[in-house]
Parts: sequence; C-alpha cells; structure tokens
Amino acid sequence: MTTVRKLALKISNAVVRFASPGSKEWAQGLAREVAFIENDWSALGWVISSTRVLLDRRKEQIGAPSENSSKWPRPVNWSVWLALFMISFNDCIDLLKATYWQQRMGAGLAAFCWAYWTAASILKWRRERNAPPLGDVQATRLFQREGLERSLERSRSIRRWFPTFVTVAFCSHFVLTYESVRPVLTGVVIAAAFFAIVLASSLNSPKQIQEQIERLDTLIAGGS
Amino acid sequence: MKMRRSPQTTLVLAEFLQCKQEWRYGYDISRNTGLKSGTLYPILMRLAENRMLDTSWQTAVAGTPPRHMYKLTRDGLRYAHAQVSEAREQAAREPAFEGVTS
Repeated sequence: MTTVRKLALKISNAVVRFASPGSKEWAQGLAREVAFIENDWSALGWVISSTRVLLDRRKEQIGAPSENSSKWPRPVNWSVWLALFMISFNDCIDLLKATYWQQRMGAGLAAFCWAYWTAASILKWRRERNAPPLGDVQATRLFQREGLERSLERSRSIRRWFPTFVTVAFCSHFVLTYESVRPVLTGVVIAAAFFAIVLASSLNSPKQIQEQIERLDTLIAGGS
Repeated sequence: MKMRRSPQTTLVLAEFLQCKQEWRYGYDISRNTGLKSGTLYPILMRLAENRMLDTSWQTAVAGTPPRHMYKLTRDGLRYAHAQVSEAREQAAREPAFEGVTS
C-alpha cells in the first residue's frame, strides 16, 4: 500500500471517528468508497473533500445502523483505564495522609469520582463490544432498543442522578482541598451543580426515551 | 429540512434518473456528475432526510466490505422528474449567446 493510500485511509478513519452521531453513517459510507477508488491520488482527493461531513453536526437518528463507536485500539483503552485507576489510587493515598477533615473529605470524593469514571468507562466499552455488525439493520435496532430499555429503567430510578452527583462531588473536592481559592471555587461548584442538574433533567427524560422506544418498535415491526 | 434547488442537486437527481431502479454508489455518482464528495454527500444527506432517498448497506462482491448505496424513493422520483424538467425548460428559455442583439 502506498503512502498516499495510507494517508487517505488515516484521514477517512479520522472523519468517521469525529463525525457527529447523525452523520456517522454517511462518514462510514464515504470511508468505504475509498477501498473502491483505484487511483491513490483520487482516493486522497475523495477523503479530503469528505472532511466536509465533519461540519454537519447532527443527532443520531433512531434506528440508523451505527458501527461500534468504541473504536480505540485495546492498548489505548487499557492505558486510559490504568491512568484513571492510578489517579484514583493516588487520591486514596492522599486520603490516608490527610491531616484535617476537609483534606480527607476532598481526597475521598476525588478517589470515588475517578473510580466511578473508570468503572463507567469499562462498562460502556463492554456493552459496545457486543454491537451487531454494520449492515445488520434489524439487529442494530434491537441492540439500540435494549440500550434504550436500560436507559429507561435508569431514568426512573435514583441512578439517573449518579452522573450529576459525581460531577458535583468532583467539583466539591476542589473546594475542600484548595483552601486558598475556596471563595472563587465555591461559586464554580454552585454553577457546575446547577448546570449538571439542569442538564440531567433535560436530557433523556423517561418520556423522551419512551418515545424513542416506540419509534424504534415501529421500525422493527416494519422490518425494512 | 427544506430541499435546496441548486444546480448540483439537479445534477444528482438527473444522475439518479438515468437508472431509476438501481442502487447507486457514492463514488459512481461523483464520477458521473463531476461533483466532489464534500458537495455530493450533503446533497444525499438532505435527500435522505426528506425521505426522497433510500439508503442501504450492501455487499456487491463477496469478501469485500459492504458499501453504502442509494436509490430514489417514489417521492424522490417524483421530485427528481419535476426538478429536472424544470431545469431543462429554464435552460431552453435562456438565450444561447447573451449580449447579441441583432
């Protein structure tokens, strides 16, 4: 494979990775064509022009086939998890070394938040690993439905607020740990908490998820 | 989303009308119309959003990865016929050489 062809493939992979959820299918379509363009320079021209898709920011269309989004190579995933775990471990050591309660509380919150994000990242990766192959539209819809069912169950329980709690807890740890900048950071924490609560209540409410499931059910029943 | 009546869109629609019932590849359309992928795909995306274009992943040759393919829907065909004939009529009305008075 020539250098020009390799470059074209790298660019097309990057376009697929960074395309918005609603444009991903199109970015994948553009990327697939590269394999069928015989001339290397034409292939490069095709992918350079295809970067235009990155400007189209769209939400994912329900029922549209999507490839496994967790496309990072395994070593990258493991490195990220290891880094998150190390940070969490470091905060645990800080917790043991802490002399007064604010420090102890701050380090405890930080350790908890990093551990939560590590676990959430691993769980997300495990779920996405089971995504059906691209092109199997019906299987993709069933897979999406399963995910929506999970989201619906979560949105009706206290678990819906976990990411919000963690965000607020993480911001609070700065206030508790860095005494000198406490007045400024307190304002930031209040703003972050407010923003997280508004975001959590507006995004994916049970009603919205239920509507998405119903739309998906119609598509599944249609079969095409 | 509203469809933009651009010459490029008309070109793409005319290309689809060449073989109405066949699934088409993006690169083939690009080659035949002379449009670059960055111009062609937004047009295809808009057509699909307006339910004028069907999309499908199909494996043409065994052992090769599936390709994204496109075909006009019934609404799309109707729209394409209207657009292309309107563009032809407009082209026929325009003088071949502008500025020649006598």
